Amino acid sequence: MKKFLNISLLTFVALASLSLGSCSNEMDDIFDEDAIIRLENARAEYFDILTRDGGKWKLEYFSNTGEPGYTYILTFKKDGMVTMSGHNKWINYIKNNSLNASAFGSEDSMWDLILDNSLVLTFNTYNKYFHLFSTPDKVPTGGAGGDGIANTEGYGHEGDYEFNIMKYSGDTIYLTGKKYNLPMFLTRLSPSTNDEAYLNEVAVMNKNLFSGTIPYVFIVLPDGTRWFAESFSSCYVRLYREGDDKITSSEYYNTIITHDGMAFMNPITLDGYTIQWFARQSDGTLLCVEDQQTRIVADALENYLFNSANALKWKADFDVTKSTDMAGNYLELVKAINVELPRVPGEKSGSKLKEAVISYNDELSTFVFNMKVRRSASVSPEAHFYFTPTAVSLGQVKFNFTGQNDYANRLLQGSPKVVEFINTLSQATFNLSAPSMLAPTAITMAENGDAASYLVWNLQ
Amino acid sequence: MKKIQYYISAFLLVAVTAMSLSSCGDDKLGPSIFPEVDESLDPTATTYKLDKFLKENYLEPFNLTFLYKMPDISTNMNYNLVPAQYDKAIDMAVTCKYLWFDVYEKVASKQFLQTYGPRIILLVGSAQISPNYGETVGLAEGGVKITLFKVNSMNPYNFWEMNDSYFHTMHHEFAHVLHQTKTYPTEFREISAGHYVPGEWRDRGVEIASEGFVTGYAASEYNEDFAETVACYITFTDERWASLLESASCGWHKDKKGNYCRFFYYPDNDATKDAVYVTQGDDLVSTVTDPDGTVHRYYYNANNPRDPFIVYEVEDEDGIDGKKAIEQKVSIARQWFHDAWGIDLDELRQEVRSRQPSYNIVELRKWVTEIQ
Repeated sequence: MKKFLNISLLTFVALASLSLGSCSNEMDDIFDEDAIIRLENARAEYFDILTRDGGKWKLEYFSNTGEPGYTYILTFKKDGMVTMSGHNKWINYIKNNSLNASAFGSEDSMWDLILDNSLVLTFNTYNKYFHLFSTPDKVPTGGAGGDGIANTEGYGHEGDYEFNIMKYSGDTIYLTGKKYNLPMFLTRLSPSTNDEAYLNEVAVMNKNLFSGTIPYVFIVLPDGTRWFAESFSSCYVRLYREGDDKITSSEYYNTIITHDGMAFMNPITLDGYTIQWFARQSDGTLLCVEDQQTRIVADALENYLFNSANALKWKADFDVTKSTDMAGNYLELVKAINVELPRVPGEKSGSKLKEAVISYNDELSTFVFNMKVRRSASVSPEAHFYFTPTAVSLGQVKFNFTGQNDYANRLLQGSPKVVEFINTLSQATFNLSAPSMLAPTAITMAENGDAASYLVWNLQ
Repeated sequence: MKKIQYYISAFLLVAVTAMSLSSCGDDKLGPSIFPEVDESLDPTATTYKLDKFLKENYLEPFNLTFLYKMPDISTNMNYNLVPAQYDKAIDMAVTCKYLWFDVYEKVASKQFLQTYGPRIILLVGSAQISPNYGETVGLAEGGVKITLFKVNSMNPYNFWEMNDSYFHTMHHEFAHVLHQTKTYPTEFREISAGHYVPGEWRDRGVEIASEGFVTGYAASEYNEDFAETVACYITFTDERWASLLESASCGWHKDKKGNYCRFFYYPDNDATKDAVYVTQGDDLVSTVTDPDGTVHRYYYNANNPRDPFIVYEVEDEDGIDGKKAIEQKVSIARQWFHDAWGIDLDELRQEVRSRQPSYNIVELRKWVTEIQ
């Protein structure tokens, strides 16, 4: 009985304590206002942020992780309308049924800030130049048989048109796509910005910043470590550290060409250095905005000009009537060769130099200086001069000729000026330069000590 | 002893309950945490006219929210969809009123729509595409919400396209809303039981009528069969409905090219040769009708026009009287509309079809554009 009373008493005390506990005062609120009020306030605040000062913003938009980003200019108006302007190949497809070029397009539609899971920026009526990334239709391929990329029906580009607003900082609004969760940025532009002119400049940047024919460039980290970067021009770049195995070490990232340079969709970390935004410099290279040290640059020019791994071909036009690919000694020599050529046995009265091509011959394991002669409209025999290039110093090279084919022999025997041309090439030291140190698709090879004598090699 | 235990236990129970209840005593409801929403329309807003039209014609009379600004969360997030174009939203809003709400209001009543009509109509610009299962053009959910897809593809100047793709969908989805509220007789399901082909209906052609279905989609399952039967009966013209019933009465042969053929002939009228099947609309089939109404068909032999080949009808071998099945389904739907809703299905049909010839989108748009 005593034991029962003790248990009952303890139970009573415990339950009473619990009951009394329920009467204790409520905990202090962490926030000053109810959630709905705070969301409404946030909506009003962002409505003001988006529409004030002209309401003009650039959106760096990513539809998925396998595609480039696209720059759009959005002008938010207080009446719920938004002007959405873009300049890309998909807009060109809508306008001209072709994906071979980029086109500008601008259309008005509606926008809103809605309270969904959080504050959501939505473009909730159809804008044909923007919602093209969200339509479930097949992604078009353009051109012949272009009925769309297989297996994309129902998916399309999988782009978002509703965005969770993450934060506002320094006139940039950080967004994430609501359905596919990709990060994007809205950055304020001057209200006087002309959409078409601005986007044309982005398009020009897109065309010129990288070259699809340059096989690789380097990301050079502050400690000097270099990472190979391939296919930057496609905005889906392959990265691997110099010295690492390309097959097993490569990682892929999608990027966007911006008005001022280039950016990765997300910050990426290479050897401990986190990078994302790059600004174009006057020499064409890119400098990391965050650390002001990491650069994206081309390799030494001689490694592209004399490249045995990627089968690059470089051409100089030898048509003396219009070519700008030669000057000084070389222009004079080509003119003189053209005078001698018709007298070379086997040539015709109209024979003249057409062009020269530098490439690597895998079978012979040697570089070839290929001098093409235009004998008639359809006959252009090739004089192959074999050579070994020597790098004297960074950006400085020499030619060491080692032999030639039969036709080259014939030219050497029949034209003293051809002999002089080859001798000049083999005796000189050349300085290499390019207008863009990121897309060196035209390399000038000027004689050291006589900069006026040069050849310009254009990547084929 | 047991008595003492009983009293102690009862005392403890009463005491704890009293204390617990007392802790809730002082609570009073405070003001709403939700901010007051100003529901008045802004006459300066770009969308004012449409918003006012929707408020006066859907929200106020029927408590129906007509969503033309698409909130993605209102759709199935597994699909990629785009919003409707604003001008297409106007077209759809006025069309829904003219060929759907006004019809039911006239034939049934305003109260019917207030009670049983959908609470939400959502417009979506694109189709809802399932890579393996095709596209969805309409959706009815829970008897309260109807989603109309492909709004951006609508061509409001092509009545027949509108009828097939949109008016049909409206009545189809509303039939779903109605049967989701009051179920139709199970006899309907038994008419074509065993003949539904959920995964294969897309591959079926006109011959599906001979199995008792008004469309291929109707053959997917009985609820779709019901909605399709009602929608087709309401929106088909007399000629089209008669043609459907005729197709339902025939036998069909699928040729090597995938065409469905009603007729065949023997080359040179030689029955020992392989039959050649011709499609229903083949220009080379000529028809001669005797005074007693007997129809003779001939295949016009271009090489020997004086000696046409006799054309035979393909025998109906599916063992189903398709026409009878369709008519039975319509009959059940007609009775159900009458019994469950007090609606005369034929009057509804007549009202829809009397409006179809006078459908004029330019005039209908004025309902919105001329709002002051």
